[in-house]
Amino acid sequence: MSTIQARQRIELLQGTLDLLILRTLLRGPVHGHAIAKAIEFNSDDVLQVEQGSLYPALHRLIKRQWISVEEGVSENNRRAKFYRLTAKGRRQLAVETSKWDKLAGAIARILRPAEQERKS
Amino acid sequence: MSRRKRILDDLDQDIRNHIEIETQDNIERGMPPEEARRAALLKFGNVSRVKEETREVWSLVWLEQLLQDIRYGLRVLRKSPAFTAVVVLTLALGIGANTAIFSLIDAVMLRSLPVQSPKDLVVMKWDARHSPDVHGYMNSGDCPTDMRIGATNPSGCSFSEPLFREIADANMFSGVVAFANSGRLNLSGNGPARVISGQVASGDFFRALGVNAALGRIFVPGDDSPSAAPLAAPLN
Repeated sequence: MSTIQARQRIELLQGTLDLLILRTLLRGPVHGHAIAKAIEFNSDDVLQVEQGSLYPALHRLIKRQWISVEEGVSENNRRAKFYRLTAKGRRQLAVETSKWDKLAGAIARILRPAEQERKS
Repeated sequence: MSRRKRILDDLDQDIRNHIEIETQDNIERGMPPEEARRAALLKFGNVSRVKEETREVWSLVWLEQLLQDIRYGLRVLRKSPAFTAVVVLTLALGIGANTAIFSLIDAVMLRSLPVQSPKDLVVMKWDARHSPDVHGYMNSGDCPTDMRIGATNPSGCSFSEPLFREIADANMFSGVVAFANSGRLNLSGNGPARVISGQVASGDFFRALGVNAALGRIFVPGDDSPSAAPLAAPLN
């Protein structure tokens, strides 16, 4: 990857990765690598997750019972762990999403007060 | 604990699998296999650090669960104060009674006696299947149990003086002493007289136990003869 590309990529805020994982799992159970790919792909490669950091996050979510683990077979025909959103995780996703919207809105209003006024 | 172990057991396999898929993706995008694997590892980050951080997520689970259980227990107890009070009171009384009994046993039985070698002391008593068949005066010694004629199983009985002399003269022990409750005594001297409870002891008593007088001298054999001079010996 070129340096310019690397600079345009954004480090994830603490706790944001959890939110992204929950959102990714909303479409059904997938394994670890697929989660990383989905986050990169859906953010047009702007969000570059250091793939390893996915695993502590996944285990945090398992511990909170927001996701569950099941056995499955990956596309390279290996036994793999598939992560599935639980009912509790689904509720949490709604809470976290609305929190994120509030945060993003608040920061946007602070950074661009003029634009907000023009809109309203 | 078992959930944690089960989940962590497959972590290695999970990570290996992840890197393999990434490598395969890179190869399909046209990278040579060597470079594909290196790129996959680079993208994954530090494998051992990831494993460590993942294990850390679970490291304090047992403590958190314990705290949860304690909080739950306290909540339940608060809901039924009468039950809680009864339980606490029962426990308090039980523990208190046990402590009191133990303190007593500790003081009376476990603390060693203030003599030279407490572990060498023995108390001799006699038992019998039947009470001695005597008429009138009986000098076998006193028994705390039933001593009527024909009674069975007298036990814990003391020895009479002739028998005590026999044992003392047999030279089986380094010292043989006798003692008996004397009942109440009158202690007078300087100041008002006082009633004290005393023991009658043989002359060898203090010497055999290895106890010395704080002032003056202890009783010695001969002090228990009718012609001996009066003697007082404070022990501490």
